[in-house]
Amino acid sequence: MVIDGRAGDLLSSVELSPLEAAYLADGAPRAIGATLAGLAHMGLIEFRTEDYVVPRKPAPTGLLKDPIQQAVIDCVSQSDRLSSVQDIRKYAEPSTGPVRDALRAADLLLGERALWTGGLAIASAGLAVFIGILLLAAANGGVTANGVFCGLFVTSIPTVILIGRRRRTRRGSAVLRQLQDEHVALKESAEHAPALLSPTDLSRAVAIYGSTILEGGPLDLVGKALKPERGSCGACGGGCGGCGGCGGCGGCA
Amino acid sequence: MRRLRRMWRVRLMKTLGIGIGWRPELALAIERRKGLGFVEVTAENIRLDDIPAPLTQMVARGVPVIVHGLSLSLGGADRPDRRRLDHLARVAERLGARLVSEHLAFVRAEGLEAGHLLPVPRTREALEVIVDNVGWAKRLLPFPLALENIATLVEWPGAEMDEASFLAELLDRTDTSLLFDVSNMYANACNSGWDPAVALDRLPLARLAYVHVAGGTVRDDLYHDTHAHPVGAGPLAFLEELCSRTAPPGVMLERDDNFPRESELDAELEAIRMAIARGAARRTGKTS
Repeated sequence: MVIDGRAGDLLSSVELSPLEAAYLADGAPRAIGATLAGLAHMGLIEFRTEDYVVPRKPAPTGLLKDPIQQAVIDCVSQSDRLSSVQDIRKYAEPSTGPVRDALRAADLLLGERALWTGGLAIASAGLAVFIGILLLAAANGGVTANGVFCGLFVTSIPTVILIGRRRRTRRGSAVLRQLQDEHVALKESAEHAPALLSPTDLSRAVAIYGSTILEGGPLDLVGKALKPERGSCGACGGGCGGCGGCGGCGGCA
Repeated sequence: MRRLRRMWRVRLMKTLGIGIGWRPELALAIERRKGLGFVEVTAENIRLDDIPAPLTQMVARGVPVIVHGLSLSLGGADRPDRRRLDHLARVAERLGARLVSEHLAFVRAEGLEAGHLLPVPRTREALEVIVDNVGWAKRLLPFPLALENIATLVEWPGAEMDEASFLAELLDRTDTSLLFDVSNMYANACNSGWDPAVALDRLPLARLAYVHVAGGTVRDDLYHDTHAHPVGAGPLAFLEELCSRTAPPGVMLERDDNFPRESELDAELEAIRMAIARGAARRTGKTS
């Protein structure tokens, strides 16, 4: 998909594949989820329950050109038991590295350095607010253990969330918004008749809008199986969206 | 006022082409369809506080929208409900429509909802009531109204006019445009055993606003206008016959169930385009 921009526009000449769009939207779990949805729609894999995937038929030679697709198929077909979505995500996550790097090179995702410096800045701001609360409490009659705990709670939660959500550059966020605005017809069709879409369109819909658009429809099982909470980084809270593709979670369980 | 309406009809003729009934399931295929002339939106499926984004985007791109009603019950004994008229008008206003349309049918009586479009008795007495209903609706609607003929498997006894003559007199007396559903008339003709081409002779084709075409199937020796099957040879031939007599301002495909993939939808629209072209060739004496 091409993001057309006006001359001098922030978004000029950005071209993203469905899997790049998925990674931009929600990191590795979304990219792998969009891949799983596309492969299921191609009839190569099948969701047996909300958690498990089985191979259905071998992929024709030359069909799978994307490393993420190949990794997912390898994981599902090599396993001698049912593959859980969590296992597949863990197995296929390294294959998403080139996508992440391409998005960073295109100035759509923050690099490691920007993530660290930005994270430190947010943490410092959080600490400053915490100290401010303590000083305010001291000026109003003293600091209690409960007060310290509350202050810590009030400042640390937003700080952690803000740090976790910092993945995209401003340009990346603008590109994602534009993708979401431009593909509303795809979203409408994916919600009401996903079976009519081509595998690429279905993959693109999940990439841009998440797997929840499939819930309640004919592909409800796929939608539920790919829910971010089912991913392997539950400790991050709020799904994998804020984890920077699990990489920022301190590893997958 | 009549002159203005005629001018509007002339303008409509120049602007509509081949369209399609907008359904969420077909949103992507419709958006991708190059050269789409217009879309028709069912008013009852639209919530004013939650108009589907693809529709508003199409309006912004300048795709003409016609708003179609299902529940005014213009053929009923009671006058149409003001709230339903208001909803139809507001949806049309929000989508920048230049025309609204409804069926020549009734859907409720004595507070009971039929959940289906029911045929009206084709009597003089009924005609008077419907003329009054249509006139009242037109006074309240800020947009021109077109009336559509329906498909029916039953008819009221004691009909004093045939379907085409009844429709022609109603349109003439209310100065209303015709939304001609070729598939509905084809279905009625098949099931009642008359020639639909003869009915065309009696219809006021000069009042034609646009045309509906849909697919159907034969079950138990009856033709059912299902809107869930591809448009068959019969309705296409009837569309060609219509186009051999007049140039419809717009022709649109209705598909309401068993939705096809994009390629099949394109083939359906192409078949409609070919039928129009064949009819036009016959009308103008040129080969297509």
